Amino acid sequence: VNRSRSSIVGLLTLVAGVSACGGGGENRADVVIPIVADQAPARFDEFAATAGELGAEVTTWCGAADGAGQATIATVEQAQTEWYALKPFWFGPVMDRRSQFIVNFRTDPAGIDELLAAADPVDAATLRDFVGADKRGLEALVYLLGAPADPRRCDYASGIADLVGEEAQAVADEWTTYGPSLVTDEMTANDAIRDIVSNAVFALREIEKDGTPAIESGLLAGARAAVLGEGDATALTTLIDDATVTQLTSEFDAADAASAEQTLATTVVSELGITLNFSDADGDG
Amino acid sequence: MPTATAETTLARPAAALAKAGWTARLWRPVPSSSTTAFRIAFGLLAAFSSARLIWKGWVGEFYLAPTDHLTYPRFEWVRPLPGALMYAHVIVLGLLGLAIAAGWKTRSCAVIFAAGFGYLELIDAALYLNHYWFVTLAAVLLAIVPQPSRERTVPVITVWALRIQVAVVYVFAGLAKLNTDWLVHAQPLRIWLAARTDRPLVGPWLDEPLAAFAMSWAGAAFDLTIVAWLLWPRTRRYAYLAVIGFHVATAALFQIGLFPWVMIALTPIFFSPSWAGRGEAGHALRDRSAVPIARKMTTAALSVLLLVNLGLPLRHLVAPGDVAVNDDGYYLAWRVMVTERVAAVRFEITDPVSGASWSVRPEDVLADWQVSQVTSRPDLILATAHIVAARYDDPVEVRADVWVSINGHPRQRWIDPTIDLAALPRTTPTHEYVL
Repeated sequence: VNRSRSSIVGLLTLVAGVSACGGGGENRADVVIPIVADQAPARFDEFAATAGELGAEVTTWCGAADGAGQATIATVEQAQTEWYALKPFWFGPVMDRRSQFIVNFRTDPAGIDELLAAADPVDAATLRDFVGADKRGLEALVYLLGAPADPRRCDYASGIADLVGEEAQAVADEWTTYGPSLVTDEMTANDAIRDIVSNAVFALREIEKDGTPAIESGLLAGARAAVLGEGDATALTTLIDDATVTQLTSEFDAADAASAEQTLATTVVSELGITLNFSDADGDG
Repeated sequence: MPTATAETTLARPAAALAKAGWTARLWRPVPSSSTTAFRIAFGLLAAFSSARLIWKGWVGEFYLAPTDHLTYPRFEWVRPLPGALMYAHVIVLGLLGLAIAAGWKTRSCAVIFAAGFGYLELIDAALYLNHYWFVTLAAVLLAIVPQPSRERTVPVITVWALRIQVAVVYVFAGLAKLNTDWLVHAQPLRIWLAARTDRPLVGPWLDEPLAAFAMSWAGAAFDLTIVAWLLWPRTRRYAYLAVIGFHVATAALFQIGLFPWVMIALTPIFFSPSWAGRGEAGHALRDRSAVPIARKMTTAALSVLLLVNLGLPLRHLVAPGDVAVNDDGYYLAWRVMVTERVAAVRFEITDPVSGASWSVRPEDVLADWQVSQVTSRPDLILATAHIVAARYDDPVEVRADVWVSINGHPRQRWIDPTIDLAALPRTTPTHEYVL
């Protein structure tokens, strides 16, 4: 009995030792943690800073007497670019808060004009709780800035700017704690990789739709940064075959969103062993 | 009175059997306990499977919720029953499973179960699983083979028919693994294992290429030889331990539902016909197999089933193209987990009158679980194209812009983009539109 017990203990010790030594491959958690714990929160902070400037910009536009706010529109478009560049990270706090319906949404110009003509409140709190997504957000702000300022238009634009600024800061604050806690092991690393790649694919698909140059450049840059990294920041490239990285790089360099999306949704997804939009159904086939 | 030992006759001495013809040999009685154990395990698994369908909410999600189903060609008329009737159908299947397990009118219950289960599988091709086909065939077998007599014996043909049914799964699954990707590139296991480094103990090693190669070769060797090890009495016990180890490992690594447990539960049919003892309950009350005409009909039915079992998995050999690419011969052929395909699918719709064109993606018309299958099976892309076309009042042309990565290879165009899929009959062989 003692010999058997010793053998079992020895075997378990060997297995544990071998497991502890680990494989020689790239640890997925080590790859993803810097992305979600450092890079993503930093970029949400940058966006919050840009969005935070919108209130002052709108105030400046309201005080100017020279018509449409082209300078302010440039800042709004910069915010749009930064927001859509974050699309690969539109999960966690963004999904929970439904921020994509607050920060930017396709507008309903007739509805905005109707609200402009009415006397209803247009402060940030009212816009958040009682006004539809198509009458608030950055795209609605661009629409309002396209005409000369008047008190009602100014109030409405200020309300949107304040709301977007608040929301951007709230999301950034939540990502500061959410990001570092997101990946703790290989299982959560795989979940994060699936979310990032899925959202990057969706970002590239969104370029097919009628979007503004600001939005499209954000989507393309964001997908590229999430998968290939930007500057010195590493991304998922260490988990992807070198030839695939080369192919993706050339597709992003050519701003060929369709090809990049196809490579991402097929070769990269396959190499990473992940599945986009997978249900919990069984499978053996 | 002779003693009932493993696969020895109960009624006649061996010397007499040697002189008997092959028909007599097929019908010599052997203890029925292994057959009964098979029947009980099958019935309980069938009942469990039905209960699982309900408690997981899959009746609603898979059968009732979808606006459109990805039907099989020639079976477009198969539709889910409305609401409560669909649940009732699944409940009845579960009760039939229990009846089979209890040995109550086994053959009748097996016939009805096979038909009802087959109906369930025909509703949506996205739900196709190899082991569902196995369950259907096993139910058909239980309806055909003679049930235990009052003496608690069955003709040995019953035991061998069940053994062959299990053997077919392993052997053809093994043959399907004899390809370059599996043996030379360790694909798709290399991809799948690298994404499973979160598993306890072995996880850190699963992204090692050596692990993928070892498991690829071991898996092929297991599938191709396990039947022989199970048939050889000296290795049978260890072989069954290997069966348990293999299927538990695959269950831990992959999301393959009941398949491992089905195989673990039914593989003991390879043991001696008396392995489960002599005290089994629920044997059939009448044994019609003693009647000569019943013997002929049973033999004929089993022969047909054998041809089906051998013919379907091999049909891809006479189909044009590579089955790993075009799936021509994939269904009902035990090509279990040998190909990883990930596709990006977009349909280009053209109004032939105005010339206007626009894009539609599968997720615009299908549920997520259907989309995940559409992106890996070309026949479902054709089915989806027909669903898309049917969404418009006037005829439209539907072409597919589809790229696929097969077993980790660089993406390639998969479907001929010049073909109007809406104009293709659903029965069109895949090699006619797969590149």
